[in-house]
Amino acid sequence: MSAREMTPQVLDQMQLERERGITIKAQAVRLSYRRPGEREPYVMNLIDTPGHVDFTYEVSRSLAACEGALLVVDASQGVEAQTLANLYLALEHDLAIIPVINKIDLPSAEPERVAAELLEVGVEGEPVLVSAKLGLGIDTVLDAIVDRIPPPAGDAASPLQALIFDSRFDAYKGVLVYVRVAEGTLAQAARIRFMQGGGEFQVQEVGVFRPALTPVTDLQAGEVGYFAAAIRDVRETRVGDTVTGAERPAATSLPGYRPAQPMVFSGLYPVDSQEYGRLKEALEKLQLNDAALVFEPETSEALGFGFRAGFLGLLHLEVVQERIEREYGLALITTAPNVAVRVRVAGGRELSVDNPARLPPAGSIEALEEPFVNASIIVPSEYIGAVMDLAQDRRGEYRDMTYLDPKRVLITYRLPLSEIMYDFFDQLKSRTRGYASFDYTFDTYRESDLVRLDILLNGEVVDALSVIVHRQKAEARGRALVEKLKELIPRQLFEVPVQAAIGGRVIARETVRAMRKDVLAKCYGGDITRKRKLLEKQREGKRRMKSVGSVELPQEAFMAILKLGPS
Amino acid sequence: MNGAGVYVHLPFCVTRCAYCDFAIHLTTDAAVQARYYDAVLREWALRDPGPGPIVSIYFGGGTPSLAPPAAIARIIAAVTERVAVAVDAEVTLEANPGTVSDATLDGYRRAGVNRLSIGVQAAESRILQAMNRPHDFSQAVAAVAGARAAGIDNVNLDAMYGYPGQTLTDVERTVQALVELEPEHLSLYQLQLEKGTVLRREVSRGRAVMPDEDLTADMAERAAQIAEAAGLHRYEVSNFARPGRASRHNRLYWNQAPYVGLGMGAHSFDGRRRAWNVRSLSGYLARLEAGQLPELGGEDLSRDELMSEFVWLGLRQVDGIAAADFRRRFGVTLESRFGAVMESLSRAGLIAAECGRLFLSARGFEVMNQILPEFLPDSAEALS
Repeated sequence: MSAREMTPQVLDQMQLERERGITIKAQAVRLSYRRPGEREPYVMNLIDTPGHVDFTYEVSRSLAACEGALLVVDASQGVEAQTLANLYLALEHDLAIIPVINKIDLPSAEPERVAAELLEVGVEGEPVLVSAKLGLGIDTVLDAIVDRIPPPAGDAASPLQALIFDSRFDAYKGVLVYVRVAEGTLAQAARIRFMQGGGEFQVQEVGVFRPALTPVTDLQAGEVGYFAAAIRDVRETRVGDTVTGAERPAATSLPGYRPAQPMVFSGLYPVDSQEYGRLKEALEKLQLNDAALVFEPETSEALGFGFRAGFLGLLHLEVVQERIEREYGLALITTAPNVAVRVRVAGGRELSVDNPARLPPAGSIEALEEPFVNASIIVPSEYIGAVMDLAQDRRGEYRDMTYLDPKRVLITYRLPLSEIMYDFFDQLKSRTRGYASFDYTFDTYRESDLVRLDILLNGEVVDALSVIVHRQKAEARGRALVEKLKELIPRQLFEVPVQAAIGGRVIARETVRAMRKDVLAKCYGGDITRKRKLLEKQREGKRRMKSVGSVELPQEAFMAILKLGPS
Repeated sequence: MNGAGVYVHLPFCVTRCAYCDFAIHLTTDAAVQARYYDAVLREWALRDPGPGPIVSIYFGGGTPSLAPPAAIARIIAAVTERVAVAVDAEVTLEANPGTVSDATLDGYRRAGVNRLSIGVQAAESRILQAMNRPHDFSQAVAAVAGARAAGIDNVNLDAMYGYPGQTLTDVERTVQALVELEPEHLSLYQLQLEKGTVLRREVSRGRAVMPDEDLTADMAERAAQIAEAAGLHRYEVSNFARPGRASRHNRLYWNQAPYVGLGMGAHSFDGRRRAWNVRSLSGYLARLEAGQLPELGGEDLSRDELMSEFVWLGLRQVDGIAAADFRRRFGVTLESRFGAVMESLSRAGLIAAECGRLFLSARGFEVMNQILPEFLPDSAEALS
C-alpha cells in the first residue's frame, strides 16, 4: 500500500465507521512477512473485527475463519468488559490467543498492571507490548503470530471446501463472496456449488485483500480471499454456507454458523407508502452484507405496510436505519425498539411476540416472560455503590463480584434486556465518570410482571406507539412519554389530546394545542413564484410527516421513548 | 375585474434595512440613477404593453421617493403614450419617511401620482433602529401631513410585526399611532426571515430572537382589531382599507390579472407566461444599453397551473374568488377541478362557499399556509 493510500482507520471503509470512529464490519486483509534471516515469506490473513456488543456476531464469524486471535488491550484502560466478551468467544472457537497491550506510548500507560489483569481473567502467555501509533513492537507481534499460531491444516489437492464468512454486492461483478478455503483449491474459471444454497456458478474472478481487491489465479487450502461468479441474486450466497467444486464435490460441508439471535425488534416503514418496494430491496441488499439482520413484512393500522426487523442491539438498529436512509435515499419511520416477549396464553399455548401491538388481551395471558442478560461491568472500586444503585433501579439481580486488581472490579448482574436497551450505558458512564465498561450476553427468558402501555392520539390508539413495560414503571413511563410526545408533535390545525393508557385506563394526558396562525406575508413586485415556492416547501414538509388518522407525526415521534430521561 | 397593471421597480436606497433581501442598490449618485431611469424607459419601449386599459401604475422599491418628480413624470408619460390608461387609474408611489418634502410631494402629484404608500414600519425608535431604518416616527407623521397638503387623498401606511425585540405593546402602540394618522389603507405584515439578510444572520447566531408563535399570533390579532375598530377593514391577509380604498394594484395580483414589471428584479405576467428580470444594477443597465430585454428567466404556466394559482392567490382575499370568474376563465367549474379538496376542507370548516364565492373561513384564514398547498397542481390530483 502506498503512503498516499494509507489513511487512519484504513480498514474502516464505510463512511459511517469513519464518522463515528467505530468498526461495524469485519474487514479482511492479507500481508506477507519475511523474517530476518529466513528466505520464504509467511502469508498472513488478518481480519479486523468490531468491538461493540451489537456486532459480536460479526466477530464470531470471523473467529470461525481463523486459527488464532490477537486480544488487544489498551495499556491505560486495561481489561474492559468487551475484552472479556471477545476473549470468551475466541476460547469457544479453540483459538490460540496472543495478548497484545497497545498504546504503551501514552503517559498513563501501565503495561505491568494490565498484564496482571490479563492473567487474572485467565489469559495465558506473555503479552506483546506495542504502540500501533508509533509502530513499536509490530515485528514482535508478527513473530508471535508465526511462533504461537499454528499454520492452517488442509490439502490443496482435496475436494474444495470453503467457508463463506461475508459477502457484498458489487454493481459490476455481482455478489463478491468472502471465503476461507479449508480444503482444496478455488481457481478462476472453476464451476462451484453452494452446498446448502444449491446454486452452481462459474468463477470469474478470484482474489485477495491487500486490502483493496487484488485478483490472483487461485486460493488454496488455508487462504482467505474472495471470488465473483456473476451472481445477481443476493440470496444465493448465505454466510456460513460451504462452497465446493461442482465436478468433484466434498462429501460434507463445513460447520456453519449458528444463526444470529436478534434481540431487539423495531418496525421499519417508508414515510411515503409508495416506497415499500424500494425499502424491501434495500433490506435485502443490506442483509447480504449483514447476516444478523432479519425482517418480515408487517402491517400497522397507523403506518400501513412495512417490516418488523430484528437487530442485535440498538447500535445495530441505528446503523441499519442510517444506511437505508443514506445509501438508498429512503425516508424511514422507525418504531421504538422493543424486546421479544414470550407469552403463555390460556390453554398453555406459548407464543413469541416481537411487536407490542400484537400482545394478546391481558385477560387471556397466563404468564409473560422477557429476555434477561448476563451483564459484566468493570469499574474502579469506588464506583461499586453507584453501579449497584443503577442495576437495582433497572430490576437487576446481583450475581458476582471479582477484583481484577486492588482498584478495579468486575461486577456481574442479571438484568432484563429491556432495561439496558435504551440509556443504561449512558447512565452507567455518567455515574462512573466514564470509567465503566459494559458488555452482556443473552442469558434466559424469565417471568416478569409486564403490561402494554398504549398511546392515544385524538382518542385513537396508535398501534405503532405501544410499548411493553414493567407494571411498576408503567405510570411514570406513560407520563414521561406523553410529555415528550407533546414536545415532538408540531401544532396541528386542531387540538390533539395525547393520552397514555394501560388496558383502556388512561393514566396520563397532555394536549398539543392547535396552531394559531400560519400565513404568507406581503407580495412584493408581483413575485408570485416566491410565494408558490413557499407553499411547495410547506407541502414537502408535510410529506415528510406521517399522517396517522388526522394527525401529522414527525419521524422522531415514533422514537419518543428513546428520548426520555432516566426513569 | 378587467384591466392590467404596470409595476416599476426603483431600487435606490441610502441604507439597507436589516430584514431586506429585495433587489436594491445603495447609492446617492444622481448620474447612476439617471442612467437607470433611461434604462426603465427603454425596457418599457421593448415590452408588449398589452391591450390595456392600465388600471394601476405602481412605483415600488427600493426607495422610489428618492427619485426626482421629473423622472416619475417621464415614466408615467411614456406609459400613457403607448397604452390606454383608465381615467381613474391608481398611481402609487412608495415613500420612506425623511425622503420627501412639500416640493417633491407636490411634484409627484403633478406627475400623476394619486396614492402614496409610506413605509413607517414601527412607531418605536428602538425597533426602527434595530431594523436599520434611516428615519424616526416623527418623520412619518410629517410625510403624511405633507401628502395631505399636496392633495394626495389616498395614503397607505406600512407596518411590520413579529420583529425580534418587539413586544405586544409595541405593536399595539404602532398600529394605534398609524390609525390616528387616518390613512385610507393599512398594510400590516408579519416579518419574514429571508436568506442572506443581516437579520437572519443575527438570529442564527443567537443575537436576535424571533418571537414565538403565540406572541406573533397575539400581535396579528391585536393589530387587526385596532385597524378594524378604526374603520379599516381587512380585505386580504396583510391589507386593510376604508370602503372603496382597497389597493387596485394588490387586487391585480390576487386576481391573476396581467401586469408589466419594469426594472431590476421585476416580474411580469401576461396571463400565461411569467418572467423576471436580472436583479443587479450592472446587469440590468448592460442588457438595456445593448438594446436587449433584461429578463433572467421565465415560465409558461400550464392551464392546470393557472387554475391552481387562480385559486390560491384569490383565497388570500377575505371575499375569496367568484365561481363564475373561474368558469369564465377556464371553461370548467371549480367543483370539477377542486371538488375533492373543497369537500374535505369544507367539512373541516376551513373554507366556505356562499353566494357563488369560495372563501376561507375565519379559522382557515389564520392558517392559510396549511390549506393553500392543497390547491397546488399535483396534490390536488392526488386527492381527486
